[in-house]
Amino acid sequence: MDKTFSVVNQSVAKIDSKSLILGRPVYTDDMAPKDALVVKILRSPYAFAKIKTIDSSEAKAIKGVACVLDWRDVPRIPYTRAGQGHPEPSPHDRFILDQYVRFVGDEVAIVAAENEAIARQALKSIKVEYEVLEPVLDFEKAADNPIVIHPEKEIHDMFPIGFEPLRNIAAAYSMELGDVEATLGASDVVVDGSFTTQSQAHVATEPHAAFAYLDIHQRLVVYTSTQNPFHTRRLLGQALGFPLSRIRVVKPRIGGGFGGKQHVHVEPFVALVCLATGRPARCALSRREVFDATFCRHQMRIDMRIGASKDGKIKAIDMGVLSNTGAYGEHALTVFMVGGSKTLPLYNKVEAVRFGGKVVYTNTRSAGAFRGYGAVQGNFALESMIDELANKLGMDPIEIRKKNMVQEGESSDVYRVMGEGREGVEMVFESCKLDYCIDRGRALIGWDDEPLVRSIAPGKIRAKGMAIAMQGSGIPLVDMGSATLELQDGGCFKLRIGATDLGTGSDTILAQIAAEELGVPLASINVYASDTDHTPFDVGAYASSTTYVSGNAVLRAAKKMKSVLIQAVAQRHSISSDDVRFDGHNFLKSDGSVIQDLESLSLDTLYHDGEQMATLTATASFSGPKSPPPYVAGFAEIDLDTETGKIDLLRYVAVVDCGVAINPALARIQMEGGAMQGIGMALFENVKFDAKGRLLTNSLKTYSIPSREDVGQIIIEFAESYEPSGPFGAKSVAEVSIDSPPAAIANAVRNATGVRLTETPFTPERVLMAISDRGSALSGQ
Amino acid sequence: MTLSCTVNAKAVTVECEPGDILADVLRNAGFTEVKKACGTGNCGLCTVLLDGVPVASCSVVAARAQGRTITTIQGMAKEAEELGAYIAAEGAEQCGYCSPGFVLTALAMEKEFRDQGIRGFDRAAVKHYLAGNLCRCSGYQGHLRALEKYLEAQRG
Amino acid sequence: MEIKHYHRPESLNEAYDLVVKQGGQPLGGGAWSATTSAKMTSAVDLSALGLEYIRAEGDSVVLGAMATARALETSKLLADRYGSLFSNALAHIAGVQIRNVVSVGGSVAGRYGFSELLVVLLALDARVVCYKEPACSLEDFLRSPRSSAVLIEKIVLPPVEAAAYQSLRIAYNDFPVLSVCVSRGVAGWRVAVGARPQAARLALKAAEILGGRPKPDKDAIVQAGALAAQELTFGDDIRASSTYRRSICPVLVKRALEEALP
Repeated sequence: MDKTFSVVNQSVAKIDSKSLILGRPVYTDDMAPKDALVVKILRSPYAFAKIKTIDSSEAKAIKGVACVLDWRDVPRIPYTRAGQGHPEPSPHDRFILDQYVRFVGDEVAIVAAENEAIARQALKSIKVEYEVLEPVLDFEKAADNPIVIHPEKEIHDMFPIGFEPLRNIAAAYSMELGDVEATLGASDVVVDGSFTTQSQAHVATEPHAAFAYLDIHQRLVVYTSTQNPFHTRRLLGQALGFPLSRIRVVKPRIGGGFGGKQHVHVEPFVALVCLATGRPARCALSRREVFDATFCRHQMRIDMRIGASKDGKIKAIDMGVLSNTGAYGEHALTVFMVGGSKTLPLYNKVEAVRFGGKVVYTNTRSAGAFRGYGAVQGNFALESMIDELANKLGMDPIEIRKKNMVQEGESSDVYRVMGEGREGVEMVFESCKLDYCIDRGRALIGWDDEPLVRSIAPGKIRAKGMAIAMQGSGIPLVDMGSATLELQDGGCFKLRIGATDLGTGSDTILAQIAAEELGVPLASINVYASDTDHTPFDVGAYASSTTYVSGNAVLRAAKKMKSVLIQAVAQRHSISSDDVRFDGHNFLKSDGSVIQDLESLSLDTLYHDGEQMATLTATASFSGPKSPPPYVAGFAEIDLDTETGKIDLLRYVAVVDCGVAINPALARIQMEGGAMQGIGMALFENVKFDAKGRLLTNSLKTYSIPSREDVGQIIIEFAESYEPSGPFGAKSVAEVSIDSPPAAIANAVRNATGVRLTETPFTPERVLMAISDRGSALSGQ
Repeated sequence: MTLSCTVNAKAVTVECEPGDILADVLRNAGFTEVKKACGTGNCGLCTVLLDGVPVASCSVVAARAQGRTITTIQGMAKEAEELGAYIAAEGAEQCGYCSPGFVLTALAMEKEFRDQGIRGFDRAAVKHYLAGNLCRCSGYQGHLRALEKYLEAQRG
Repeated sequence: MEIKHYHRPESLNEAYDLVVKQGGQPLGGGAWSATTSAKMTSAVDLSALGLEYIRAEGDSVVLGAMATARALETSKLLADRYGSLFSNALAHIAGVQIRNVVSVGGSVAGRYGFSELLVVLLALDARVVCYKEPACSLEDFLRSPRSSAVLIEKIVLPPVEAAAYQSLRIAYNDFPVLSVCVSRGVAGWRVAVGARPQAARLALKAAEILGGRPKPDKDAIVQAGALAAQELTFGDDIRASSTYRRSICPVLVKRALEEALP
């Protein structure tokens, strides 16, 4: 794998960085037409209710109100807001507006007015009479509850996903390889535990926003802060019953996504208003609306059992999951399945493995895609249990992992059986440097330099813990990306990609891949992305797919373009294309003599070649037969205050195998940011509802994401690794970054106190109560 | 009311309600570099300098800006570009949505530190001063690497 | 928020007329008023009254009602007189962008349960001076009905021998789960506990057991913590339960006292 690169594997600045840093108007709401109607949404104050009457006559009479729409005014077409491939594995269980509202914040009516103040006034003037229904708030009590959240007849799944709405079950699945009960029975030791994770909020800094207008051809154009413009176009067409041929979706710069923008949010509302009034319409959510009424991470309870032999060989793993999808079933099945499919292969040498459970509806905000996508929840449970097993066997946590974990060149039956919402695909893990990641992380954190646990002051314990994790790189045979390269006069290239840069820098990374393959400087690649009219298809940015899937498409397009260029030169000069090579600047004969340069070729093909003139383009697509996992070894060093239960995270070390990092600086930042988000989930981001199902933690005053003072240091390093199926050896880094902190921190607390934390986040109160429960249990012995 | 103030060294007069939020008034007047993210004064994205002092413009009523001087990132574009180059080298702007508020606060910090005689990079002081500038993408470490290089370069 | 009439008086007399005689609502820092949907018929902006000062008057330090949290945090005078008390207590309030907005007068008038400043002022036995009113203790002020129309002009801080602040927060710039400030002045120790989550209160029994001793012994310190936890009420909110607050109250009281000991 001795590769030398000139553009990839280099930390170049993002090509859009200057505009971003100087605050140029490049985000959706900055770009909305000045004369656009302001769209506001009336939201349900109740967790579950039927709208008996709704009277908007007063609102409509206000000067400056353009329209007020409620459930009677919109098409009754069931659809899903989940941005996924077609057919969607999410049930079509939602209407743009419905007579029933199913969580506090669910949409009741849409108002469009000349300005914000009038829109607000109109919202207040709408009179709604609700029949308040008793909600189902506790996900443990949702399945087979006499209260049915989705009795409507029209809703359906697109293929069997275990959808039983009359039982409040959005999806269900189970699988077993080998005989788990028998193997557990035959194990020398068995550990078990039950873990719960909260419905973390994404908190992308840019709240969801969209605007719509009719273009010169009366087509509907929607600009939106989305992770998946192409899915959004398809879902909009579905929901509105509007021909796809007449919809264009554009994604400008967006202020973060993390999965939270892998859904349709306000797009149907601006589209409806635009179609109803013929005027441009804009909508930007408030932070409170983002918390109350957009998506969150699936809350889960995960029941684990692991059996092993005395010498630490893991024989059986049993994982049962109950997942809370909230009011609607977006990503219900797939997030839940990833809880197993992207964790269980870590221990691929077991004799038996079982995964199963269900995803239930409740009258809370809808859960959806969120970085980690089930794997972070599953990893917390699995990697906590592995440490429990190590403790029970008296083994070092690292030793037991090394003995059992996946190795390069191996495979996992779990991959064959479990895909995302369907059967999986077999794959061999061609790159896996987990061994190195662990060894290097061990050195960086100083695992062996001092005891894992030591008292540093009265009431203060310093301890370390670790966990390993894996993810994927796109969804095999589902995700598809495309790229078109075109030679422009001046000898530069237009790179059109459907891929969606969320701020991660994928526009830059994909340009680096094109430049590397073509041998041209990065500045010769002009990127245009994420516009359903003007860029080729791409599923969008999710499932850690862009670098691997879209990157492979770009690589293919660049290879094609190179041969197109060479053929053009060969034809022009009546020589064999075998006798032409391109060095990124000049076309040369095999004897090394220069035929012509790229710039002159661009002028010739566009201006000089008479009947032979042509635009030289190359388009390629990629849909991978596999999804090579990136791996991480994460290490936490904490100070635990045993009198208050407060955890201070001093250092978090993560060593990652993401293949070749196309842009090491950007990969590093994503690792650091993902780790921080995992740390937020582990320590700070508590979610609270009141007894009526109202979210109490719906602002940044009440829901704390980590600040720069909340963590001592995050230290990231990369393993030297090369993935043969990836573009220039790359895999992914987006999601694996978030997976390991909850378990690593919990394992550090276990080492510090003997207490096993089983519920995220580890608030001081939870930790102190766990310590004192154990204290009283010990003194009672 | 008619609000008259100076924004980025230019006289600006706009019609607004006295209770309107400064961030909204500025955005409506075309200063879209002022980003709105939390609306509760917790995230620092809407930071502007009011008479040279960084404030969360989502937590200031517009009327209070009457006759005063407001600076957005565009008003310090030259300095912002200089510091911005260090941030871009780390890739630490990521989605960029928090960048204008963050960079502006960092520039205010640099001035305050200079006035106090603090030279170069004091990690603890920098982390503390900028704690109210939240970022959900970067994990903050890249900001610190960039600021360390920038502030050390400024020392000279 | 909605403001019908906006006034920015330039003299205390004018402000007094608007607030006390005409029922206008003072606009202090305005950090909260800007984020509520409340309606104000008459808002009286106090920012043109020159009340931003922090100055020494003999042994005392006087804080103008419009002095900001950030000004207190970085005040050399306060650091000279009270050590790191103010910078410790105020440093966690959101970011500098909000600390540059939040005012002393607004914090006192708002009587916020979470207020870091109130627990400190209470422990220091601060006096509240409302314009054209006799000065009163902060304790009395906090007990007075909220509806009384007053114009807070300044806060007077008496000198103390020692003081310290301790808090427990889930995240760095989150509101405290519990905050404690202790001080020792001429009348002995004072122990204030805030973010219970209700507004700060004095733990009188805890103070009594400490008496006037500059250096109470270990037992007295432990007892003071236990007494504070017993005598005060604690509530539940999104951050913690009353049980948890009660259980860490002695810890924070003990730590604050230990920090304040010579």
